[in-house]
Amino acid sequence: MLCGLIKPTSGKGFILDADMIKDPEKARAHIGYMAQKFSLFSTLSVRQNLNFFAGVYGLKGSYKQQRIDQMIEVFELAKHLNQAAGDLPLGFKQRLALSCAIMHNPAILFLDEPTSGVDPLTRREFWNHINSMVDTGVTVMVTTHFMDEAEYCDRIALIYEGNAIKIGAPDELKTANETMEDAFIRLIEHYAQEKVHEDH
Amino acid sequence: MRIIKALIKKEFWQIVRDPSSIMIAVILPFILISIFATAINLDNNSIKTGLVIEGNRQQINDIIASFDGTKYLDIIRYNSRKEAQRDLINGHIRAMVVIPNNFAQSFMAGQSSPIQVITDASDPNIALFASAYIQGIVATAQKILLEIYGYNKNTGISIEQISWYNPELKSRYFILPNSIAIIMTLIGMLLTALVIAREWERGTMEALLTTKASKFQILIAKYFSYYVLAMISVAFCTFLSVIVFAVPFNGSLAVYFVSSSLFLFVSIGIGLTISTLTRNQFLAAVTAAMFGFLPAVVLSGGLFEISSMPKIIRIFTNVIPATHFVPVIKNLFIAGNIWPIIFSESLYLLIYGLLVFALLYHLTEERLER
Repeated sequence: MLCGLIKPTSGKGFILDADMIKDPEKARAHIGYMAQKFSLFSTLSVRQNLNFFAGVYGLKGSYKQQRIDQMIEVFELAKHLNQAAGDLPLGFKQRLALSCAIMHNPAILFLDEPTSGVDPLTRREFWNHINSMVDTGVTVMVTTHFMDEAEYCDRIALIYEGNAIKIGAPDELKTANETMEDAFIRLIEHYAQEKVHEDH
Repeated sequence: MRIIKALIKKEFWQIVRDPSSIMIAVILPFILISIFATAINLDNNSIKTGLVIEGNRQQINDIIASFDGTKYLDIIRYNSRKEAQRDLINGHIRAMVVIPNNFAQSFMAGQSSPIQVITDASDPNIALFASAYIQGIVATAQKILLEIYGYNKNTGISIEQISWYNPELKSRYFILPNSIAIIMTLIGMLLTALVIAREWERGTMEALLTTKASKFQILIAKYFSYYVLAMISVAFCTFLSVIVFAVPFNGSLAVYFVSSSLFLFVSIGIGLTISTLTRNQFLAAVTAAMFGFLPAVVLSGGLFEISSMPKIIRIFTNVIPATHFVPVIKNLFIAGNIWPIIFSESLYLLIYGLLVFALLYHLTEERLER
């Protein structure tokens, strides 16, 4: 729903100044989305994928070429340009997916479990990319089940049974000597108990 | 052994819980058997045949009665040769018999008296059936007449046989244009059935939908690319038929282009709709083959005459886009531009295509919610 895939049933949503309900296409132009599953065209080459996504995001002319070249440089894709996306090593698939998602300079980037099934080295590298994007002013929303990853973030929303049961900075969520994982379990148990209480 | 048993059990549970496998296993064979048993009938039971009697009816009542009494031909009376010929051109009747003005006179004078038979040989099968039946009827009538009026060695009815459109009765002339329609269905429907399903399977559809591209644009892009692909193959098939196999092409290329485009518009739309509904490549391929491609072969009137099918199936053939393209392409090759057919069938395809597009757009929208 946040990405504009599903129409909200009620309420309002804005991405920058674009109304998600009235003008979903404009709203989507501000979003970058990287799905959990590798969702690029695996039979197309790396260059074709970059070209395609630049195209569907509405980039054109010399700016388009400039962005593609930037992506190739930042994510070090030059060596693999003509390889089919499906044949890339996992780390490069991730890089390519990320580069396709940020091709159009989105203000908000959604990453749906970007690091599940990725080796620690690639994960580290991936977070470096995420952090450098945050430095340029992009808002990044990450879903993850790695609690150590959650700690890298500025704000965490803890989702349980479809509800955000706690929202805040990592330090607000956990007590002095707790790890994030402990805090997570404590908060959920607390919530579940309260709910049982309410039901009675 | 216990493991195998568990596996088999599991398989059956899956089958019972999955309605699509039941469809393929039960409903599909049922439909196919019904089609094969009833629709493919090369013995044509009621070929629409025009009967024009130019002279005095009284003296040749016996001949008229023989024609009216046959169950093999569906006799339609015409008052003039012109009216019958017009209907033959439009394809309303497949053959016509003309009993000329002086027939009765000449027969009673003990001369050899001609009856003219004109068949629409754009479908050689039907033409041969029709003329064989007509010959049979005339032979019977002749026997009766001779008994009444007595014998004379010159007395008799001679049949003057004319074949329109395909005077050489070459079945290649009518099979190849039909094959083009079938190949167009194959590419337009079977191939497109895979493409949206593939996007959903790989997760690329989500990726696409979060970009600036709208559903409308995504659909149009799919329509267009497969339209171009299919048109290239049309051009290739036409080239093969006309240049290599020397099938005459008598219509206009512009009409051919427009009507092929309309036909593909419908076929591609149906293929994409199947794809959107199934969201699974394998299922989409099977569905397209069974509900799209096979009926196009069997029920479009391309290889098997629609008029010899039972009424329910005849009504059903209207759902198949190829049914409304085959008459046009057949005539374009064999006969030329026959405007009434071109207009009505093209209009039908256009409306059909727009409806399919509307449905597809609606489904694409709806499918997202799931």
